[in-house]
Amino acid sequence: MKIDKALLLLVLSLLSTVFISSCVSPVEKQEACEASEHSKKLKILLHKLDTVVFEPTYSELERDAYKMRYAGEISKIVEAMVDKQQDKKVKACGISLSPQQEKLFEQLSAQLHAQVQQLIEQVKLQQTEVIKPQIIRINQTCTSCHQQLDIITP
Amino acid sequence: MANFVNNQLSTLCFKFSGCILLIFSCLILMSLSVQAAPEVSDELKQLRAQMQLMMKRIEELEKQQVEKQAIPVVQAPVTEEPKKGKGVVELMSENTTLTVGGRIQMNTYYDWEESKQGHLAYNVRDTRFWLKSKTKTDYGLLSATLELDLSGTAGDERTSNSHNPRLRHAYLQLGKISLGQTNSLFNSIAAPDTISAAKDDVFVRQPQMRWTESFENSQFAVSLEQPETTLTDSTGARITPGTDRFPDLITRYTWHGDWGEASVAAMGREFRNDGAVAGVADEAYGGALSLSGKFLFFDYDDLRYGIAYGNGLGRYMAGNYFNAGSINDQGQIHLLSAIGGHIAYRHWWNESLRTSLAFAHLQIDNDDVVPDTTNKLGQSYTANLIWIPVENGQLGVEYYYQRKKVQSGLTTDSSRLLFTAIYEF
Repeated sequence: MKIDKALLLLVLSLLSTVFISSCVSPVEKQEACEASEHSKKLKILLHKLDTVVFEPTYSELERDAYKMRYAGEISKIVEAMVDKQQDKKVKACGISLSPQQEKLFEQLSAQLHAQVQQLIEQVKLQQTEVIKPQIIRINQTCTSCHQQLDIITP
Repeated sequence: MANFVNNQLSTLCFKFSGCILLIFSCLILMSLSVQAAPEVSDELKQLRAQMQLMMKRIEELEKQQVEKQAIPVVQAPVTEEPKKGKGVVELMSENTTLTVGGRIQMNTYYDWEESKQGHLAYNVRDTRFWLKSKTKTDYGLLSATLELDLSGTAGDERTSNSHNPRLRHAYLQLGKISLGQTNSLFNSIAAPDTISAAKDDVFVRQPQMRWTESFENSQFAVSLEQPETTLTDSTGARITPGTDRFPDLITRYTWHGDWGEASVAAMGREFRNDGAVAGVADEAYGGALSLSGKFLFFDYDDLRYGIAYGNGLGRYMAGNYFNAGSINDQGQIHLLSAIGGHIAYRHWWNESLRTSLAFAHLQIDNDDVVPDTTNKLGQSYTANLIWIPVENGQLGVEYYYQRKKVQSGLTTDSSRLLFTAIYEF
C-alpha cells in the first residue's frame, strides 16, 4: 500500500509546529512553594473539566467518565494540600501568622478538609451534576483563606 | 378536629351557664320566701362554694378554648434536604435523580468546489436534548441516558425547516455493565477538536453490550456490538445483506497519565451474504486494529493522533466512505484492506481561545470487482479558531479542505468555510 506524500509532509509540519510552540510558549516554569505547583495543576484540571463539554465526539457516558477522572484528580491534589497545611501550616510559603490568624486558618482548613471529603464521596457515587458546584465551594474556601490571611495567590 | 373540640366546649359552657342561672334563681326565691334559719344559712354557704367552684371550672374551660384556637398550623417537618446541582430535578420516586441537558448549535457554512458555484446554508440540526437518570439499587448505581438530535429526516428549507429528531444514545449503565446504544468502543478516543469531522473519522454509534474494568491509571473494556455487512458490488452499489449472525467483537485498553492518554483497540467481525447476490451464500471473517491518543504539551496544548488498519474497517471509518469488501456477480465476498489516520495539534492562545490544525488521510486497496467510480482515497485539512465567551458556550470559525479520489484516479477538491455557535445547557 502506497502512502500519500502529503501525509508525511503534514506530519512533519505538525511536529514542527509543536517544536516552535515549545520555544515561544508563554507559560513560565516557576519554582515557588508547593502550593503554587498545586495551584497550577488545579487550574489546568479545572480548565479540562470546564472544556470537556466541547470535545466533538464524546458521548455523555464518556464526558461523565472524564469529569469523574478530573474531579478525582482535583480532590487528591486538594486533599494533599490540606494534609500538608495541617502539618506545616503555611510557613512553607514563608508566611508567619498571628495566633488569631492561625485560629482562622485552622477553621478554614477544617472546612476545606470537609469539603474535599464530600467531593471524594461525590466522585465515588458518580454524582457528576454536583461536582462542579462542590469544586466552586472548595475554590471559595481557598480564596477566602488567601484573602483573609493576605496570602498572595501563586 | 379543632372545630369538633370547640363545639363540645361551647355546649359544655352553655350547660354550665344554665345550671348557674337555675341555682341563682333558687337562691333568690329561697331568700325571699324563707326566714334565714341557721341550717338554711349553712346550705347557702355550701351552694356558694359550689357555685364558685363551677365558675372557676368555666373560666378554665374558656381559657383552654382560647389557647386551642391560638395554636398555629404545624408544618410537616422537612425530613431530607433537597438535592442541589446544575440541572437537577428531584423525582417523586425514591432514590432517583433526573438530569436534563442538551445543546443548541447553529452551523453556517459556505461550500465551494473548483468547477462549481458556491453554496451557503444554515442549520441547527446538531442541536441536542438529553435526559439522564440515576437510581440507587442493591447492585449499585443504575444510570440511564436518552439523547436525541435534529439530524433525522431533513425539513423543508422553503418554509419551516422542521427537521426530525433522531436517536443518538439510549443506554443503561449498572456498575461495569453498559447496555444500549452509544458510541462504539472502537471509536477513536482523541478525535481532532474541529467542527467538521476529520476525513478518517473512526466513529460509529450503535447498540451494544459492554463490560468495563477500571484500574488506577488504565481501563479495559470489551463489547459485543451490532453487526452490519456493507459490500460493494460490480455496479458500485452498496449491498447490505442484513443476514449477520454474530456480533462485532471489540476490545480496548486505555492508559492515561500526566503525559496524556493512549489506547489500542481490536475488532473481529463476520461478513455474510445469505443469497442477496446471485442467490449464493458466502461469508468472510475480518478485523481491524486502532491506536489513538494524545500527548499533552505546555499544560493546556495537546497533540492528537489516531490510526486504524484492517480488512474489517468498512463502516467504522469515515461514515462508511469505504465498504468493508466487494461482492462479485457470483456472490463471493472479498474483504479489502484499508488504512486511515489523523494528526492534530490543539493550541490554547489563552484559557478561552484555541486553535486546532488537523490533517487526516485514508485509503483502500480496491480489487477488480469494484467499478472505477468507487472511492479510493480521501484527505482533509482543517484549521480553526474557537472562542469561549461564556461558560459552556463557544463561537468558532473553521476552514476545511478535502480531497476525494476514486478508483479511476479522478480527484475532486472542495472547501468549506464554517461558522458555529454552540451553547451547552
